[in-house]
Amino acid sequence: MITVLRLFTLMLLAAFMAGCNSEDNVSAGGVDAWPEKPVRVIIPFGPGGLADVTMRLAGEPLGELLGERLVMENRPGAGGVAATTTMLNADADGYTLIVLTNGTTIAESLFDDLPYNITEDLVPVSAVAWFDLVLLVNPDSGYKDLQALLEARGDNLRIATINPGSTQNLSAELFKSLASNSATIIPYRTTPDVLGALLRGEVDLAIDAYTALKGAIDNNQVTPIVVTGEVRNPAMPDIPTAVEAGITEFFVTGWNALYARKGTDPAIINRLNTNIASVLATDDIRTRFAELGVEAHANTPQEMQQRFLSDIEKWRRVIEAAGIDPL
Amino acid sequence: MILTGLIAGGIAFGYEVGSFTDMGPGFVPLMLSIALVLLAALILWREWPMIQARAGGEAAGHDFAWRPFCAVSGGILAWVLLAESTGFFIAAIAQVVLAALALPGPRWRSILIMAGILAVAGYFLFVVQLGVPLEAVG
Amino acid sequence: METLSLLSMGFEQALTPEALLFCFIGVSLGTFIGVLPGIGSLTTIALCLPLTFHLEPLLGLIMLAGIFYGAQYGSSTASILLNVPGSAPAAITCLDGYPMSRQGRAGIALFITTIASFTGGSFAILLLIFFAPVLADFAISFSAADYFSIMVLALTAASTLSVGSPLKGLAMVSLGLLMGMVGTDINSGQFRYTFGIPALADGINLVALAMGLFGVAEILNNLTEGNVPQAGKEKITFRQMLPTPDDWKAFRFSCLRGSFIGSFIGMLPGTGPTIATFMAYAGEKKLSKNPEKFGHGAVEGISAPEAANNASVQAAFIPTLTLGVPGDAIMAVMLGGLLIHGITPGPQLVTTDAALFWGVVASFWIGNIILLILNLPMIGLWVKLLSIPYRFLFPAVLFLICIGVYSVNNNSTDVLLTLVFGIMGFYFNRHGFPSAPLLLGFVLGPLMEENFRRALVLSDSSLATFVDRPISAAFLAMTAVLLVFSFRRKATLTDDKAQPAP
Repeated sequence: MITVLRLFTLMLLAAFMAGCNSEDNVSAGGVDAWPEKPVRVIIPFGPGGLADVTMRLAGEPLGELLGERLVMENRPGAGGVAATTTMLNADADGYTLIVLTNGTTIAESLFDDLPYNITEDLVPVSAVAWFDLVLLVNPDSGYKDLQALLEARGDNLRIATINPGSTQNLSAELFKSLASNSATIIPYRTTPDVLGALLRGEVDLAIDAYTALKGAIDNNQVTPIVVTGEVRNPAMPDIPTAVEAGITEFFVTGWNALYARKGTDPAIINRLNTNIASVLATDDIRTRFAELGVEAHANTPQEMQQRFLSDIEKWRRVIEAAGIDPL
Repeated sequence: MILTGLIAGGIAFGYEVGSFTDMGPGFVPLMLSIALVLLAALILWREWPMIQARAGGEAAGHDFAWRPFCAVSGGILAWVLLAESTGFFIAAIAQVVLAALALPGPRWRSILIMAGILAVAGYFLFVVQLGVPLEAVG
Repeated sequence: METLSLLSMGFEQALTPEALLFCFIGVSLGTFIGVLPGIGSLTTIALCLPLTFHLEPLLGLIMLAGIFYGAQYGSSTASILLNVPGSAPAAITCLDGYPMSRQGRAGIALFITTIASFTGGSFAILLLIFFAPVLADFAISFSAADYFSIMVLALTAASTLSVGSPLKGLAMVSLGLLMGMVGTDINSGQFRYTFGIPALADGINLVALAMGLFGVAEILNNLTEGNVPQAGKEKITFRQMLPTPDDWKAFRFSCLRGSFIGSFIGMLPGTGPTIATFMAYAGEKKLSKNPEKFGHGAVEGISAPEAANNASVQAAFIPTLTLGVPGDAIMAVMLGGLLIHGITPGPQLVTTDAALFWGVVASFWIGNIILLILNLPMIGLWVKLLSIPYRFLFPAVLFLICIGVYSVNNNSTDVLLTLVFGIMGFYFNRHGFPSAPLLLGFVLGPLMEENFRRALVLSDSSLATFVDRPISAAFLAMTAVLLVFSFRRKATLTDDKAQPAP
């Protein structure tokens, strides 16, 4: 019964807090007083995805540290355009934040006329989570490593990924250009569809986020042969990186990061940044993130900015090389 | 009647998409558009006598009831335009009041009371409990 | 027999006071959410997900799952009473449920859907208990070509959905298919028919389409025709809720067939309950001796889809739990919930976490029984809703539609689209074009195109793949039989009708 009681306390607490917020709108104080009311965090995805779950997990202790609740707001759709537009309608007062992902850097080159310019309209606060992609084969196929697969399937290699324009799909394009020029990339709607395709054996290789397929990997339904990080994934120390497997220049690390409106007081950004860093350093968050297959890892706004710019450049080249026209 | 024009209009941009893309993404829409044109034409052909008969009858018959049509549309439009700018309460009240005007005999008091109750109850249910991200007052 | 002992262990897990409490919270919340138009179980489950971080995994999963299938019970209520589907799969229940309600048989309709929901759910749970691993392997073996052929069958069956002219039905299916193309093309990433509106980049919102075509269109229809439903005054007794012997007869087998179709469609990843309910309805109409009854309050027209609806959501757990392949977004969220607790669904779940697996399965049944007990007494209350004068009822319903549609993506454009579809549906109704085929075409369109093109890529552009694969061939053969059958029948029907026509 203890758990029940705890849940009810939680619910009561939530109801109480919700009740308070609406009257709390009397704000005026300066930076020192921030935050005086709950902070909105806009998530450009539907609920339940990686970005959503990690942010909700980290948001709870972060809210405790800041002394105000973080309210998650899902604005899915249109590759983040809907979310970013909402963000741009908010004031630069630190009460509205947005989660961006490496997908944002892809969108910069993939879309012709975005109604905003991320680097001019937003500023980074800190990274939240990092994750690798994995290259997977069907265990029944018998391929133990990448070289064996490439030799055996060579020109007929079939790669399953999720939809065009995703990190996974463009990573496959990158892989194709570096390792197997005549491979066919077959897009599927969702990660479970990709998994199904690999299980049925209708494709040779799947490229997807480790997180998404962690379950299948743990169950030995699929076999990882390469991770795309620059170093090996601590969860799978036996699996080589792409560079080790002989494909130099093939590294992809996805990330989720928190951004604020440009013009937000640097002191607020600073405070957020240090608090995120300490939340992400706690054992609880680290293990929870690890269970999801992602790494909890903060950085400085400057580091984040560099990363953002270099990723834009990287995907721009991939998109050009793959001959994808901007939309 | 006009309907066929509407469908044909839909097809017109079907062609556009169909022709400029490399057979891939435009192929299926093109096929569908053609199918739709054929079907629409066939329906028109088969129902032509009936449509003419009705057109004659309708001119003499009753007029289209614009009042409820506009009220309902206006109510929803009010919500669309107001929800994110002026907040939940104003949008909700505007929507309910406008829609309620669809029926004649303005009983202002009861309409307003209902709008108020709906707005308050809706606010607590959807915004507070279910977390729909809308401000109470923009 | 081992299954039974495991199952009884599951019941021990699921019958603790805590588990019962969470099951109860879940299903009640679900039913409530289901009744509200637009607000879906996905939103609710996602909101409750963080709460479960603090719970034992079993309790969390019991509650989340309860919301999911509880919502399916509730979703038909508004379809029957107001012609406003609580969720997209329940749109088909409008076709015969709403006429029943206007004939003063709302209580009976609600009673039947509740029993049908229970039967459908139970049927799929039995499959889950006894055949889950086999069925999951079978379901996952369906490849692109097989999916395409199933869709062809579904679409052919759908041509019977229309009440009036079959030509108009076909035109509406085509329009629906075309509307399904709106959004990002999955094979190339190309935007199609989006007209630069960001809200359309991910396709037309299914909820907005269903709410517009059914809910808003019906309100417009009632008001402009001056055909306002009269507020029912009579008090409903339990007696009046009970179906007549004739109703029971119509109910029995249609309900079973619905359960079967629902379970089958439900366990295929990526299909979903909307297709299941539409197929069940089409199937009933095809089999019926007097199909002209449909659309005018046929009992089979609500029992089969409702059974299919609940069977499909329960069956969706089969691939999710046994293979870790979630069938839709809701299942994916639940999978995420499990992963957070360090539990990985998959072939090993049944052995490594047997207590959890069987506990959840047992809770499904308990939840369904709670829903049955919960919903039957509610019927009287729901029917009372109809005694509210229409002048108050319809603005309130519009209000619920607005906010419900908004909440799906937190997007105002979707609400605007609902209005557009409402006017469209209203216009179509006036000219005898049925809305249901459009909705089905819309749901099937993208799936069909996607799988057709994928099948061709996989087979190196050989069309033979559709007949080479046994599953695909079987479905195509069924389609052919259906076509021949319906043409022969139509021939006789038109002969009969030719005489009295002017």
